[in-house]
Order: sequence, then C-alpha cells, then structure tokens
Amino acid sequence: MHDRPLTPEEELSLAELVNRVLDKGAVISGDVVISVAGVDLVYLGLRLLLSSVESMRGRLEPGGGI
Amino acid sequence: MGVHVYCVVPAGFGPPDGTRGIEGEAVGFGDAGMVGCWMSRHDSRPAPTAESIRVHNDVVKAGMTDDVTPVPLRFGQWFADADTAVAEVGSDAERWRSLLAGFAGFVEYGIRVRYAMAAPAVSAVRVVRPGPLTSGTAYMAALAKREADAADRRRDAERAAAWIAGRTSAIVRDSRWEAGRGVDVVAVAHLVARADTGAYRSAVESLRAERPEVSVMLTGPWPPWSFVA
Repeated sequence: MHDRPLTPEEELSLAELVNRVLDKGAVISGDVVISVAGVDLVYLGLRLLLSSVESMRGRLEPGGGI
Repeated sequence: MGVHVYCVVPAGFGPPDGTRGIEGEAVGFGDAGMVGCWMSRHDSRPAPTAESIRVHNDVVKAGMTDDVTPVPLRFGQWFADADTAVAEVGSDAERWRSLLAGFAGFVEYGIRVRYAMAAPAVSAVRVVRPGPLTSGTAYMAALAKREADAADRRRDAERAAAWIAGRTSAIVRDSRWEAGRGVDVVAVAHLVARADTGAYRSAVESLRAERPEVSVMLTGPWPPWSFVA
C-alpha cells in the first residue's frame, strides 16, 4: 500500500480507467449491479453516481440547505 | 458462488495460460458456440475497488492481439454460475460477432483537453440549494449563473471536440466525446487501427504544439470501452 499522493499522470490514468470500466463497456443482459460497502446498487451510470456525490457535498457545506 | 465476466471473445479464443483475474482467481473460457467469454469464479460479487477495476481492464487487455480485440464488458456483471453466463452470451451471439468483427485490429485511445492555467468556475457542476437565509431572488440568480456556466462549458467542449476532429478524422475510424468536468474541457475517445498508431500519436503531438495554452493528454491503448453502443 502506497501513502504518497498520486501524480497528475496517475490521477488522469485512474480517472480514465474508472470512467471506462464502470461507465462504458457492453452489458450482457439486464441491469449491471455493483456493490459499494456491502450495499448493492443497480448501476445507472457513473455520471449519475458522481452527481450524487456532488449533491452530498452541497448538502454538507454550510448553508447547503440541509 | 458465482462468476464475474470480463469480455466476449471469438469462438475458441481462450485466455493465455496463467491469466489471473480479480482477487487472483483464475480466468477461464466459457464456450458459447459462435463466440465465447472470459470469466472467473468468486464466493461473492467483487466490489468495485480501484484494484479490481484495474484488474478487470488488464484481463480484457490480455486478450488484445493483432487479430483479436475482445468486446469489453462493463464491470459488475455477475451470474449465478458459468452455465448461466454462457447461455446469456450465446443468446446474443450475432451482436457479439458483429462487434468483434468491427473491433479486430483496432484499439481505443483517449484524449483529454484540460485548461493549463486557472481552472474555470466550478459552479457548473455544483448543486445550488436554497439555504435558510437565502432569498428567492438570490437562489434564482444562482440558478441562472449555473445555467450560463454550463452553456459556456458546453460551447468550449464543442469547440475543442471540433478542433480535435479536424486534425484526426482522417486517421480514426470512429470517435466519441463528452464535455469535461472541473478543469477538463472535453474528453474524446478514438477508435484507431493498430497500423495507424504512429500517425495518430503524431497528430496528437501536433495538437499540443498548436495550442500550448491547454493541456492535451493522451491515454491508451485501451480495449474499445467507448464503442460498444
């Protein structure tokens, strides 16, 4: 396990990798399900997942509404 | 128990000896008649960790040769057993054969154009919510600004995508693009013949030289993740 921060090149490669493997590629049949922290999520698209994270940040910020 | 499936391959095209998949499990071949698939057995559905995502991609890449480019399958496809997975793949064999024929001899590259200097306003990707002390007018103004920022970013992305297409369309077989987030202007995926890799890389170098005020980053070769639909 490495504790050092990722270089910009490594960050880019990881982002490109995650974007492709989780958000692209063919689907054999039905829904794609991924499990995060033991919770199964019917997969709807990485951008939606990222939007959810962004929404969560917005809610946690001071004056964020919740 | 169940199986995690990585990719669809031509009939009889098994993984190289010793290929290991997620969690170090052996990758095996599933014979679906006119096509096949690569998969590994697991006690439970693999979690989408950075490591398992990397390994999933590496397994698909292990199947890329001069003559064969597997159809990459999105992470997370899980079946109760190998027979079920093979039956599902075999039920759509014509689709897979068509994709395999189109991908043979081709690889994917990614180009990401990024603002090299100051990052643009990030309000385009933030959710604007009315706080308890926020007036309705301020809220509507924030919404309007967000919409305007998003439109600006979309125009920037379209211009960047057109610029790249103008320099690469003669080399690539197919392309996809989407507007970037944060400091990224646009992300473009290209399907490139292996034989044209040198010319393609030269074209990317030309893009960099032409617009030093932005960063033009190239990744790949990848399996053709962006071109299965």
